[in-house]
Amino acid sequence: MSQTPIIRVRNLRKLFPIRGGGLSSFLTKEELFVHAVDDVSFDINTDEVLGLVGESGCGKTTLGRLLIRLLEPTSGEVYYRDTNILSLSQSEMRELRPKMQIIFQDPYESLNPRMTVLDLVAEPLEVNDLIENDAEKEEKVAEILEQMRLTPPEEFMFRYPHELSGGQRQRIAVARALIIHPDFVVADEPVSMLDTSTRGEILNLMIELKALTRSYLFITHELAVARHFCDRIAIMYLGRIMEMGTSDEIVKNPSHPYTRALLEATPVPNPKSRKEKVNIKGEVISPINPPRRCRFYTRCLMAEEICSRLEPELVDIGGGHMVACHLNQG
Amino acid sequence: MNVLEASDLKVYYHTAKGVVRAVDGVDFIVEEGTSVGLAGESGCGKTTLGLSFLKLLPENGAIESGSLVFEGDDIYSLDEKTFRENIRWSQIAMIFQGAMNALNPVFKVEDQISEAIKLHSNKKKKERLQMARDLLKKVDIDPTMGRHYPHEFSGGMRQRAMIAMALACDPKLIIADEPTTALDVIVQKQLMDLLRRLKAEMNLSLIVISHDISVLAELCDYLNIMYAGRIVEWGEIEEIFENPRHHYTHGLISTFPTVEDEEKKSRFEFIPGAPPNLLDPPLGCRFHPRCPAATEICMQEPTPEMRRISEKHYVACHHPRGDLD
Amino acid sequence: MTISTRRKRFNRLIKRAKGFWGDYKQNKKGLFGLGLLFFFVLFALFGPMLSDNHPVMDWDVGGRRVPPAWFKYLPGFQYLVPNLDPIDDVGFGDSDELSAWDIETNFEDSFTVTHSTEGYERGSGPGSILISLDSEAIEPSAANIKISKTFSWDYSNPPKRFRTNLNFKAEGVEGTSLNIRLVLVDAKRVEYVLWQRDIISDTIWSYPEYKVDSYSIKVKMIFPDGVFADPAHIIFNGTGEYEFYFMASFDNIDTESTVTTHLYVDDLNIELRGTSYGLLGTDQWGRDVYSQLAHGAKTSLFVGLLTAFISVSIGLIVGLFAGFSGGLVDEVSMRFADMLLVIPFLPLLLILIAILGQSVLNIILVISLLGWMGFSRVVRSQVLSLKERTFIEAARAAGGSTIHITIKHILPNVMGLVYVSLATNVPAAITAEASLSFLGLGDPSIMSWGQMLHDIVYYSAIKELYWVIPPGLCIALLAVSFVMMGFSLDEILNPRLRRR
Repeated sequence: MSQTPIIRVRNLRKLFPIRGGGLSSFLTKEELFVHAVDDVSFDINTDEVLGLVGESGCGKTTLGRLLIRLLEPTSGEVYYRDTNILSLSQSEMRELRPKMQIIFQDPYESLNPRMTVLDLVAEPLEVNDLIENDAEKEEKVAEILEQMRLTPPEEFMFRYPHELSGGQRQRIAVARALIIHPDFVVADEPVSMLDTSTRGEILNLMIELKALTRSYLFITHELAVARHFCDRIAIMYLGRIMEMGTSDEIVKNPSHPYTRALLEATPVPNPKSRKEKVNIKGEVISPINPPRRCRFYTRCLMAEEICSRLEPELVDIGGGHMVACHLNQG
Repeated sequence: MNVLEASDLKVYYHTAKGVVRAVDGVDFIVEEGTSVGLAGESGCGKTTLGLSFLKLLPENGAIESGSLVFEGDDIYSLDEKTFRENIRWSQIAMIFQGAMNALNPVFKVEDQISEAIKLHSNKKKKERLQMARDLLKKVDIDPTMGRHYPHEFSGGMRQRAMIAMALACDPKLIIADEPTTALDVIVQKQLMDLLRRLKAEMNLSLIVISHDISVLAELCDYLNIMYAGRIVEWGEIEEIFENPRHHYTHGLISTFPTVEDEEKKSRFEFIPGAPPNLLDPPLGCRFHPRCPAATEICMQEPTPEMRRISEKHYVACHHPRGDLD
Repeated sequence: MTISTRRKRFNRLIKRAKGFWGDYKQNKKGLFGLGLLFFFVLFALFGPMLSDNHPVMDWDVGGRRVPPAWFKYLPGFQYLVPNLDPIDDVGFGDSDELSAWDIETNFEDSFTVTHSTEGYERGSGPGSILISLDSEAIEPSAANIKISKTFSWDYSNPPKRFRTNLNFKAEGVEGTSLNIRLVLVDAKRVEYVLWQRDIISDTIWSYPEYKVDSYSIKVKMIFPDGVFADPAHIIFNGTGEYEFYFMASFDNIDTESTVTTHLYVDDLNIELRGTSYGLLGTDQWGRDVYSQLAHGAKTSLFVGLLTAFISVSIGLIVGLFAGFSGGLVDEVSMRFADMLLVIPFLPLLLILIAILGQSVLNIILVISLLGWMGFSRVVRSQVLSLKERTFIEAARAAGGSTIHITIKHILPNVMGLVYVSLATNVPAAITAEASLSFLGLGDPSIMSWGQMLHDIVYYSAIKELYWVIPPGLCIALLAVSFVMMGFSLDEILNPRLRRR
């Protein structure tokens, strides 16, 4: 695995302003923001799959969209190789689009219901002027459909999304993202809408077709899937990365109390290993203007005085295993 | 003693495109004080089966035949009024999928619980509210939160409030339909702990319907595997997980990735193909198009019957795993 | 491969169309609407061919304001009589047509009656009867010639009106005294001289100084009741043989003269306008109501479809633009639409038409320019919700430009709305045009159903059901047909209403 980063994220923040209803906006001077992504920095290396794991509302989907500039961040930098993509103009960004693709969570939503499979899969080729004529278009689409095990491709090319099963749709969505051989793909919970029995097929195809791309950012709320799919895992909580390391490290040697809680809570399909209570208390606090302290403070059973005063930084505790916790900094 | 016994139950939906045999000859048993899991892919008929125990089917659906016995009494032939007054909610309650939709957004939570009590008892309002607050306390919600509206509750709290509502009339049996789906793992775990605790404390019987067998592994004593409208395997949960005899069951279990594995897997297991359309299920064993062990006999009628593996383990398969025939 | 996949794509399209038709067939409302529309389209295309009468220009094709011919089968309407035209062709285009007339004189030798190629240009053109009088052959000083037509009136009731026609030219009358007259003889042989004139000198082509018509005061004055008389009623007082003739009497003929006197007679005619006419009767000016209805169908469909098309197009473009660009563009265009929406529609319409002038194109333009706002709001809101859909984001992530996304992704997803809106806008446009015409601001040279209703009210004919019901019913039915189609399209194309 090469260690040259393909994506570098530096101090990325995205705050969504909350528009107070009528009177309240007059009455309060304080501006309210949802801190969806709050000062996040990390690298994604070439040929690497980075897993981004977190609960709903932790900002993982927002982060994924920021990386390919489907959303404009509030501050910070995102480098694709050596280009700061946030400094590009709209048209320059469009030229870069083929290099970075996204697979969305819901295959029922992400495919235009009025387009055929052929047009859907070929769209990235067409909008980026990568094909000459219809024959080439059909050839390329047939090729990728075959790779996605949608055979024979002629059977599928002229169908509409509603004529396909959920798994087939998601394979179309993957084909769409991979047909232009991007360097980097954001996969936003690509299998969470599917039955467990069909998930494996999509995941296998994504691994097999990694030759077509270089790196994935794999967003998921399931640690179990990330553990097997990803080379490295980043655990996100309330807009910040809590822990990051190789997937083996994260699963076998979790260093952040939140990661441990997540691992304890992750159900195991084995009735003999029923676990007892999770070591966590309370509920997730509101992401609106969170106080400047450890985000996990209110739920942590080990919290100390320092945790209520200082927001911990993400520090390397050895071998690229990084933790943002006052209690686990070496 | 069995709390609920259903045999050869058939539930059909009559749609414009034809008859959907959502439940097609199902035997189902819930022993007192146990929790029974019902697993299957989306569209296999598991929710319909759950609803049919409460006779709460949508307008175009009906129980066509079979028998339904609750605590030794036939409830299949009860008329709607008697069923509503004596069975539904007071004896068999349900926790629905998606708590946000099941709670009325314009009423306070404690009022909604008290309303549920009112339908089945003639207690005074004050008494009912007190009961509602006790119930909230039982499901680990601060009783003073009862005065709030559902939208002020988090997803986990709403699901707890739903459980409190199911407990309102002190039922014998609770049917939980995907009780933890769409909840975060930590909340899911807490909820499962709560259900386990309540079951033990109140001597409840539980039916848990889920597509997520890891949830069932945590919660249940027995497991039913449903495929295309039929139960294909039934047994004690540990037995089933250790020694699944149906190829579908094995598929379901092995496709589930686990964090506990020592090694990072490079390949994921999956069951090829998609579940059949219940308008026109395949002949013979309904799983045969996706089954690795299918032979000629599997494609022919009749569909395989449940056969006994042991006292508490049955499977409906011509070539069960582990058999060398 | 390309060819075969093209064919496949085409087959898919056919399949989709068939699928849509399959859904549509199930929809009773939709079928009813479509059937009704089909009927109106056929009516607009072929209806006008079934009648030779121009809806606006052809006056007095029947009695004025008379009910349809088939009314006579209804109780209380047995008195109705149809038109009668005793003379088939009045042009005297060739000599054969002379044989339709009885010509008698008291001195056969003196008169020669021939066909002349000359004729009254502004009448029926070339061809007339030429009566030549050879003075030398005449012994007595007086002679006359009578060109007559006998016809039978088979009804005990009189016609609504009769009209006669005559064009003549006299040459070489100098020295003689000539009297010409038009006479109608009833079944009891009572003669009524409708018009007469002494001609003392040569004339150019001339015609009677008043219209020899039962409505003419001069004709009425022949009778004792004067202006209150109804000559048609008095003359046609029973069944029998009636006679209409033209007579020329010569007196004081100078037998020494060598000049031949020529009298040209052209367009000699009598028409009886009955008390009933055609399929749907006649209007105030004796114009064919059926013809008006058929031409009106053409106008209404044309105005309705074109207006709906223009206004929906404007609405679509504005809505797409506002919805997709958002911000200032959205704000400005929507406020402009709001502004137009709050101005009362009809008064604005009236003023604009009054300023621009009464023509069909102006009407279409004005109605469509005032009818796009509602639809643009619908499109805008649809676009706003589509914009949030993941597949739009997916298209953007693929590198699609705004134009690409609008055309490929947004547009196909609002087309369902467009079809529905087209169908529901048509009746609005039809009724708007009808209202304008009804208020007298329609195009006067073109007949429309609104114009017909306008005439009805203008001439206080609200009680003439035969005249009121056809245009009123047609407007309502055509509107209903489009509304029905709109509803059913909505049900089929809008999945939320779709039955499961």
